[in-house]
Amino acid sequence: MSPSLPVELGGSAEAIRHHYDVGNDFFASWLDPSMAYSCALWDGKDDESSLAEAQIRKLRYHAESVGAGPGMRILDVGCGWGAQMRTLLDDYGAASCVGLTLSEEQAAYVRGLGREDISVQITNWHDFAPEAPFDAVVSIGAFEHFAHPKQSQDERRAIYRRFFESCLRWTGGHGPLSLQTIAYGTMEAGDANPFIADDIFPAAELPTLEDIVVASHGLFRITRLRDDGMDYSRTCQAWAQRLRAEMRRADSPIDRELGERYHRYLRLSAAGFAMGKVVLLRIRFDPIAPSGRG
Amino acid sequence: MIESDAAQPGAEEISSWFQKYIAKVAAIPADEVDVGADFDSFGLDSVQGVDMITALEDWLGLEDDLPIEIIFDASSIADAADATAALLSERRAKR
Repeated sequence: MSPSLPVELGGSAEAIRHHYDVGNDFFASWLDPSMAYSCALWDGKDDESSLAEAQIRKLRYHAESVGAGPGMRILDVGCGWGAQMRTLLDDYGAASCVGLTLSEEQAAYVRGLGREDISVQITNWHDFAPEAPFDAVVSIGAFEHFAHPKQSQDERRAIYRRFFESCLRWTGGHGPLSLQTIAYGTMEAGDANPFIADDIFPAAELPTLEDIVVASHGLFRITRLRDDGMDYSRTCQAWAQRLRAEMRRADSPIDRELGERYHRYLRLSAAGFAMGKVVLLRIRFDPIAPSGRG
Repeated sequence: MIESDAAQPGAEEISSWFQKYIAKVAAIPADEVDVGADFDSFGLDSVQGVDMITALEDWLGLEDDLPIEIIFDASSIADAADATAALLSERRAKR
């Protein structure tokens, strides 16, 4: 019997809150200071950068991917605690950012930053209708939540396609998109050892790379693609290590059961990435100009 | 000159720790746990695997986690024990 893991993906607000609304202090105790809760970026396995440095490299990678620069207005779908938006504004001179999240605690945290150049909305991207177009879109660690395990492949691809169409619409057909998502690796390959099991990411309905290619076809060109699964394994290991160190402190306020559940989940995830069961994709999309479409 | 390993269990002791742990989880006598068999053959799933390696780290008194592949990639209990012992002495040598 497997205990229920903290992730129940499926795009519902309830599922998102189940995972993310367990307290900002809890996440702050083991995430790096930027509160980036997604895969960091190292420069190969010999790169000895700290987790915090590798997170900064990741944030800058996505900023550069969309050509972030002065005066730009950028949308962050699944903004978490705002690390990507702060990088875009503070390090690249973007004029303003809008962040979408379904987590009330994340939204409260971002609002608590008290920044006029950041607007955070508790809105599903399906329902998002901006007043003015954006210059670019970033989305890190949100795509995993878009589809539901009960949906067919066609239904899932239709949702992904709607997301890509929305990105085009939000940018008036001209903005690039930098996407980071977990995807299936060998996990569907049927030769899985039961020991490593089906219970890594049990409720997740992750995309495959093929889903993404098919869903974005004719809308965007994929102009850069990285598979950095080993970076995610390393990130999860670093988080697990930090969480455990925090739990060992005599005066740690972390709830034991919650801490152990997350520790187990992080280590399972680290294994899943290390073994290629799941992969981590970073993809740059350039819009196909309307005249070239069809 | 020769660093004492008295405080650090070797491959054999780690292997016997695995035996006892699996015996408890699988509810079978420890001497029925064949160290030449892989973890999968005892019906352990990945969650139990993670719990096992966490318990092993606690037993070894490690501050730094072991890479979890040490058991997921192992072909047998003995193999995992060897890999763990090798990693521990590698870590000691680095200090």
